[in-house]
Amino acid sequence: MNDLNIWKRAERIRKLLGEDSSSPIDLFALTNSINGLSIVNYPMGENISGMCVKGKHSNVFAINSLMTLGRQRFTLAHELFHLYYDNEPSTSICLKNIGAGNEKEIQADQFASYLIMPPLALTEMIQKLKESSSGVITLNEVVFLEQYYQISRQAVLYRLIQERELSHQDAEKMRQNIIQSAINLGYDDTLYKPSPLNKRYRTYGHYIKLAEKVLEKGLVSRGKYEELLLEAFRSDLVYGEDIDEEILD
Amino acid sequence: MDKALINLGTKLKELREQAGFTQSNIANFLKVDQSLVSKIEKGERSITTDMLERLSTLFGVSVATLLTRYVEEQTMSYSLRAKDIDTNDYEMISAIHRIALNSDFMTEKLITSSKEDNDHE
Repeated sequence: MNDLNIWKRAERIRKLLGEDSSSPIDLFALTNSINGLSIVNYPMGENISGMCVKGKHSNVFAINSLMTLGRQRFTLAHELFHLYYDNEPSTSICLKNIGAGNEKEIQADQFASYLIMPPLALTEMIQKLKESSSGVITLNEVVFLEQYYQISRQAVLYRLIQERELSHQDAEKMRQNIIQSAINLGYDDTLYKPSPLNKRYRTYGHYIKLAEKVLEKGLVSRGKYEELLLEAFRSDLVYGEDIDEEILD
Repeated sequence: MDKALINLGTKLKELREQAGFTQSNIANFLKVDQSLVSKIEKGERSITTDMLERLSTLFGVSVATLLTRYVEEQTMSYSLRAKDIDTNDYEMISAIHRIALNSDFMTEKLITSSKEDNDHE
């Protein structure tokens, strides 16, 4: 499949999710709104970024919660490719290295990159940034882009190399002091950190609604309901932990 | 030899090979000796319900599917080599499949209940 087809697919998914073809998107909110999809945060090994399970009736994305939030967003976009465009296996386990692995994985990474940073919008943005930086992309522009699209440094560098806006050599230098470079420009560091400790194991979305429904309809006992929640790492819902003081504003 | 054991062994071997796991990977995951996995695959040894349950979540199939003879389709696809998956990742795969299987269990409960409601009307 060529890049144009992958771009078209990314565009189609943006449309499906109710997004225009140029703005930054909130992938955590968007994936949570997909019918029948559960998202699981789980600390995985260092080579794995995520997993997509296409079940008989519903689907599950698992995201490596030890990766930075920016990288987690890229993985969510990558798993969307498996969900919508990978017809073969029911379970895909995905590599952490962007642009590596088999053909499907490389396509899924390209799709993720286009979904988050649509080619036309990115080109325009790069032009604008270059106008105010003597025609070259520097670390400042890289930080701007990763903050604008809320995505990891690695994902931005990968794309800028592809777009021939950065050399491998220049990109390499930008792979260090990531947090400091963002802080120095006045940004918050949340993007560069993993999920908070109390949310590294957690299931969101469809699964929780299903559990509530089967309990409400009397289709499972309270004991079974609690077991289902505990197996999905939602002890907070069983024991009432972690509920912060509510503010209505 | 027990025909059911042979069927289960054949099924286990097929699923394991499709997923690219070795007998040793399965043995580590089940915390048993590799020779036991080999014997189970040959239908020479029985399997505990606990092991059956753990294998079903590792492969993301129901226990019933594990006990039926045919493997209908590929169940797992890895973009990484088995050596890139560490021991804890087998637990991870199993935990995530558990969630997917639970989702199917809950959905099937709802479907059955809705069918029963329709039949009563």
